Amino acid sequence: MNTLIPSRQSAWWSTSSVGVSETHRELDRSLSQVRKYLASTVSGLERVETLRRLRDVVRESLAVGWDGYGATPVTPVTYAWACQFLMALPSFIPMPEPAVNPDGDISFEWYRDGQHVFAVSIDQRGLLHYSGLFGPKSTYGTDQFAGELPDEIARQIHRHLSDTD
Amino acid sequence: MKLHDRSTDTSRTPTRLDDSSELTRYLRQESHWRGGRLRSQAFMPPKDSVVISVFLVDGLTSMQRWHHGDAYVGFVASARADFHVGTCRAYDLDVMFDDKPPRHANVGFFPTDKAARNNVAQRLASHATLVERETG
Repeated sequence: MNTLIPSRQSAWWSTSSVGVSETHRELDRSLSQVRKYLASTVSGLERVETLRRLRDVVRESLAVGWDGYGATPVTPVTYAWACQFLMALPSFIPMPEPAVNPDGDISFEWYRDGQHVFAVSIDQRGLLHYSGLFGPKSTYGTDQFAGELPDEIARQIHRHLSDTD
Repeated sequence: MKLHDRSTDTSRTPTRLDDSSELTRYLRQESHWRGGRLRSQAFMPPKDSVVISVFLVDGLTSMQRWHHGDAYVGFVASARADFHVGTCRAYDLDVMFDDKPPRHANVGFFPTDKAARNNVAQRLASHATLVERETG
């Protein structure tokens, strides 16, 4: 259940259109669009659940060599950057799956299938390293995180979510 | 003369290394294959390295591959990523066989640019097969 969607019984939310003017019909259309938008957005609970999964994968990655191949532990600074990045994701972007890279960076992945994957890793300096497979095509690059999702990464996530290759 | 016991001794060096040769990467960090699929982290080198450690497992059954890992990897693997030499070469990676320990090889050299490195790891993950160890 999406807790952000107001009850249909709510007076201001009512779409009853008995005897409506054009203004009312326009309002109805607007409310309908808002309802569709809210139904497709990430709830606060989903974001909290992703933060919880992030905490869990970080806890598994605190010892030197945690992967058996000499992996670097996550630092508190990287963890803090990762939390900020998650909080900065707009609500219309689905929550990604967190993981820790062997070099101690934290990765967030959006997965459709083996050939359609997009991931963003954040390092200790707040640099975002993104990489995606779009069927036979791919892309990668680096951007600085400054409290907001960089436009290029937002564009690539949208491309991933809507890609039809 | 002592005969070579193929069922338990997995250390015999394979005689060929071509595109169809099979490699495996032993895994123990469950987040690297969560949800029944391999993730790119399974193929990323450690910090300040441009290679990953693998084993050439041509000619070994799945059970023998687990035994070989138990003997030589240094940890108990809970999963494997099986893939081919040809996949590495398709992405400009070399397979450098050193047989130390037996059947060991390094795959490299990964790009030093992190985004490019992650991209190569994603590609390898997309072509590899996850084999989870049966427990109990």
